[in-house]
Amino acid sequence: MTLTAENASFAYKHGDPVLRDLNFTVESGEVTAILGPNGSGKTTLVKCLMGFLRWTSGRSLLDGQDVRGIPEREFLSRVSYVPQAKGQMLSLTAEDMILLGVTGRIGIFSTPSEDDREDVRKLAGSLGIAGLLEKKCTEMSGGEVQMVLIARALASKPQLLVLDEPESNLDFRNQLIVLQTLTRLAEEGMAVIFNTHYPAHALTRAKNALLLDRSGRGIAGPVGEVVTEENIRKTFGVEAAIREFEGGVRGILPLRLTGE
Amino acid sequence: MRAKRRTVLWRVLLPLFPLVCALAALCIGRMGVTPADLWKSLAGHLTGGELPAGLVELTLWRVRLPRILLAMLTGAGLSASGCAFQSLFANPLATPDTLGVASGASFGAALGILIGLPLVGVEGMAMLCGTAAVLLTALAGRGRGGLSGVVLAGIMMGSLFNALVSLVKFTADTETELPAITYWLMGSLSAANWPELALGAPPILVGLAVLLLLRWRLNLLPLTDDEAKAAGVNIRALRIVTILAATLCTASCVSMCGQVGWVGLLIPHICRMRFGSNALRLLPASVFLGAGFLVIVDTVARSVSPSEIPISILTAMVGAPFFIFLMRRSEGWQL
Repeated sequence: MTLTAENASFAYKHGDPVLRDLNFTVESGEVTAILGPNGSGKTTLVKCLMGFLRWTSGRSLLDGQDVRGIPEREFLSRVSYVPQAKGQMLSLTAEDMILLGVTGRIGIFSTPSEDDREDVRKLAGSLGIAGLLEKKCTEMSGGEVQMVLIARALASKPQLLVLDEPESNLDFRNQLIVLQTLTRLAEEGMAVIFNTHYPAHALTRAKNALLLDRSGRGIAGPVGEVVTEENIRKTFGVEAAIREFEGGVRGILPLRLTGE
Repeated sequence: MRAKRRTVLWRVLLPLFPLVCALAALCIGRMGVTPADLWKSLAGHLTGGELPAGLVELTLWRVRLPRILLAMLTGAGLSASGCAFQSLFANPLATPDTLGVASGASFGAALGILIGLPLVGVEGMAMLCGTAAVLLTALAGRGRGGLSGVVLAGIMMGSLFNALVSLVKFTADTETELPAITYWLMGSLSAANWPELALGAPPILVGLAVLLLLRWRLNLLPLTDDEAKAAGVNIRALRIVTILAATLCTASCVSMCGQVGWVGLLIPHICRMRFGSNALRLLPASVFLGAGFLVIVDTVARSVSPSEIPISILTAMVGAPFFIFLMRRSEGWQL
């Protein structure tokens, strides 16, 4: 499965373009990272990809078919969305919260069946959150909520997972749990695209990256060619050092603002 | 396993609760009817055997039963619409009262009474103005002020429509219409009879049925539009249907028995504490508990003193302390 953006631009009504002429492709089995400074339009891009907002010009293609020509239901059965884990949480149990993800598949007046519940329990087991099923979302930590939201998106059995800053506001350990989950999902054949504040996460986890600058233009390509000291300086205004650690893992350390 | 068994127990107990309340209420009141009379009458009707005295028969089936049914419907309707509004506005304080729906419906109904419409017309007017009120509240409170925004907008809308009700009262005939409107506004089920019930019950039943059928999907309402859409649901349509169904319940309750306050707040929150916030369980529980609760309150209202106490006075006396208890509870308000 591939999702491709072609010359895609977006502007809010009566505003300057937020995103300009973006071209990139997300493929099954790959993790793609969207990077960029605050206000560069990362969340807007995610909303455009999901079809919550419409490209002002350009288009996105799902397996070569224009997304506007695909019925919303069908599109959303193949592409799933994980929102930022902020704002008011409902005091639903994790099991009920994850079950909400199957709602689109069942009839209007139906309630989830015992089979659906069994699926959710298996899914939670595979994500390592089986112990949370009876816990209320209002009583969870940020990391736990994030994993529940990922599970909810996976409950509809998508081929592409779109995540909006899944590892923001999480501690080191929980960031790793979320990132490892993304890696594993890609290894199992899913296409994963996530936006992030952390260039290091793109370097360690993503095959491809899309780096947005404040004008809404983007550099897309293999992560090693996109996330470079040069590009980080240009888009973030930060002098950074990228180094390779043992085992070929690359990391990045911000050193100082440019021009200091 | 224990949790499972408890769930089964509640599934039996909850539907029984309004039934037991109704049977007890049939035997309580100024006209003495003993449980033996009730049994005799029930058995008589079922087997065609001997019936109790005519006055007892009349009291039981012509006076008390319609009134009890009206109380059950009103309690169920207001509780269910309370649940629905709380989900709809993602706000634990949203109820028919706080959103101005009840006031809007009251204005419509009062206007209907003033111009002498039949009950169907009064109900239609109540529905129309109730819907207008909730839409205005939603528009005014949108986006700003978080949790309190929509409730503040609702209070404003409520006071606007209450002022309009006063205007209606002001122009009403002081001898006949004014007492009728005033007493009806305070909430009373005393006018219940079979013909009125036959007209007023269907809208409540329809609203209840729609909400109950959609109960799983009500869980999606508090999510953001994007999240709900991502679950593959037409969230706009769901919002509209829920608003209409909940307003239909409220408006029909109001046009039959006036403003019965607090039920839509009290009952859903008691049920939330016990059964959690999943509408799958919350909504049916609220319907049963609300039905039984209002039968109890109405029975007290009509039997503790020689003249009837308006029912909203009693619900407020229970509701206000409970409101404060909820507010001061360690977990605070929860949805």
